[in-house]
Amino acid sequence: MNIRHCPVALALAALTTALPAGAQTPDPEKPADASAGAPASAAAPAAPDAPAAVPTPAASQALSELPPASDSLASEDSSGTFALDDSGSLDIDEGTKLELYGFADFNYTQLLGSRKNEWRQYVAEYPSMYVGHLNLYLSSKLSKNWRSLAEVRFTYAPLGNESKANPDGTFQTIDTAAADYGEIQRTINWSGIEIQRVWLEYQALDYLTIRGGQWLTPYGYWNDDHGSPAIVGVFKPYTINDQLFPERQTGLEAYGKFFIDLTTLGYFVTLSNGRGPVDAVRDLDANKAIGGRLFLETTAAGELTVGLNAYKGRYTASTKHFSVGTDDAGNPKVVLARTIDASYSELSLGADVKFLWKGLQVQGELMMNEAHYDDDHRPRTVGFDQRPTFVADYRRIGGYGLIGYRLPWWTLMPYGMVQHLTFTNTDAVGPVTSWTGGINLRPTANVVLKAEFGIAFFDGVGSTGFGSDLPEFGAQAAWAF
Amino acid sequence: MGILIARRQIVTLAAAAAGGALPTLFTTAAQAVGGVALAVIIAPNSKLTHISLADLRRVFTSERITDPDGNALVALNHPPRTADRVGFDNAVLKMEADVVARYWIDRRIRGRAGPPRTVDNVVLLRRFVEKFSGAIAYLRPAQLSAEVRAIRVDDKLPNDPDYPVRYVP
Repeated sequence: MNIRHCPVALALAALTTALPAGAQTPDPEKPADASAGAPASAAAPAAPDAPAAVPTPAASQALSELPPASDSLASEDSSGTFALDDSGSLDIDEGTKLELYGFADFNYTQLLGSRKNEWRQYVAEYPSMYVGHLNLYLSSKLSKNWRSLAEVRFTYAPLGNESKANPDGTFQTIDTAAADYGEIQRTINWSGIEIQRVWLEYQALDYLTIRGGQWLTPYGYWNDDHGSPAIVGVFKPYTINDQLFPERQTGLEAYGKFFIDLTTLGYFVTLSNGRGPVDAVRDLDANKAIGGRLFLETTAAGELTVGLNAYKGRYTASTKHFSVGTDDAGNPKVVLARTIDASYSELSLGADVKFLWKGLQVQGELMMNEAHYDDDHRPRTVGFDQRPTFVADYRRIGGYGLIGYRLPWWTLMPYGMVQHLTFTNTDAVGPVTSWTGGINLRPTANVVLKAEFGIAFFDGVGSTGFGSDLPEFGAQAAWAF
Repeated sequence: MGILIARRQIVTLAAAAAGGALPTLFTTAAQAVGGVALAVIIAPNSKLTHISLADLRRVFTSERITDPDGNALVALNHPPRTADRVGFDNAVLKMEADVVARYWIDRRIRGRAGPPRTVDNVVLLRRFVEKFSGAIAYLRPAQLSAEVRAIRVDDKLPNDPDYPVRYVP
């Protein structure tokens, strides 16, 4: 959908005049500045007696009337169409346009295995169906070099959240029920939204674009693919879900590409608030996080991309409090201060590779994240073990490898994935290795149907006593609109 | 100049006399080597004289490439699933029609720039290319006119046997 705000019609006067002066055949080798080859457009008026405006039948034919290559005419890959207006003039309205599009997915998840497996009790005891994502994009090319994008996810959360345990052993279930004042007090469950990203960017040079706002951290492929229709599998790898790199950051990002024959060399450089409990709106320390990505793409044989990623930042969580003190004159005054609850510096490093060749897709990401706590602000462990201990420094290492092949039949892609994560940031879960196999069917470009079975093998039950394996089945219908 | 104009007029008259069915020399040569060649076109006054196939692919996947005048090249496409569009995507992007559709949907979900605009009329396409600095498109050689100029791709013209922007219908 296009919403035109301020038409800056480049209604080129020349284009509102007569149709072109015929189907002359230019010399394609003629340089524009050669004397013998003055701009061909200049030649047209000089030939008034030529059989003007006699485009060949082929030339006057609407391209859309040419024989289609398939029965259905797709409109999914166009940013818009230029057309003649009612008077036959060329309407080149390049005013700001707002594009609305998005994606959604409907899911079925079932944890398999014994009911005694605590994972099943903790995550989801029964098979469930749910709408996982409803993401809306608002994209606008503001001018030649300015562009903006906002993406908002509509979610049912926090409805039904049961992640917090009460001291009495019960879990608190969040109920968002409210009386609908507009429907005679009918009960409704209000839900939330999550801003996925919102940024403004300026392309200063071919190889330099500067972006400000909240953006997805540029690393690897999965976080970049981002939306369920573009992602091969149903569930994210643990390394992505556990955010060894932050999923998104708020700050500045510069990126660009250099083209060398069949090879593209690209970079990202980031400066942000870094990770924190409220990093989207406030940095709780003076440190700014830096990061970047270097990647190389080549189409010499298939499409090969390799990348290196880094992120370095500082996490700080603090509590603001006030007390009543006195000023120099002894009068009472309010004193505001913050107590640091936890702080650590962290470093994430990653490498990735992706190879596409015809229907084959192979990709993998390997990454690590290490954190060093400040001893003065090392928090207590949070878990079921009530003994007083402090969180240790940690280094998480993980990765995944995925291989799939898009068959020519029904655009079906069988795929397999193996992944590993050490989970050293918590004693609740041991290191895990998971194997997944599934199919990805794309009956149309906009619709993706997926089903996968996976089993995760944990190295021990962890401090929670959860099961040592976790078989699961997931199915998903994802669609772009 | 005069000779050139006269030659063009003759060709134009011949084409008009044949109701437009008379193929140009380009077309004849292209047909001789098999397949349908698509001439990559720009404005006549552009300083751009050639482009590599790799850069052509980049332009038509919405990467920013500038011409010698400093204008960002703006790709104009044929409507999806029309014969020349499918052929162009095959020859340049190395993608089938279904793959192209998936490519652009996935790309938009990633938050990248969208696909080139489409123009569904040859006359309109030529006029736009002529008037809009940096516009780049493609046509069959028989559809060329004085409003646009064909450029070399990988140093080849449509009548060269190994011209890369060519497809078999």
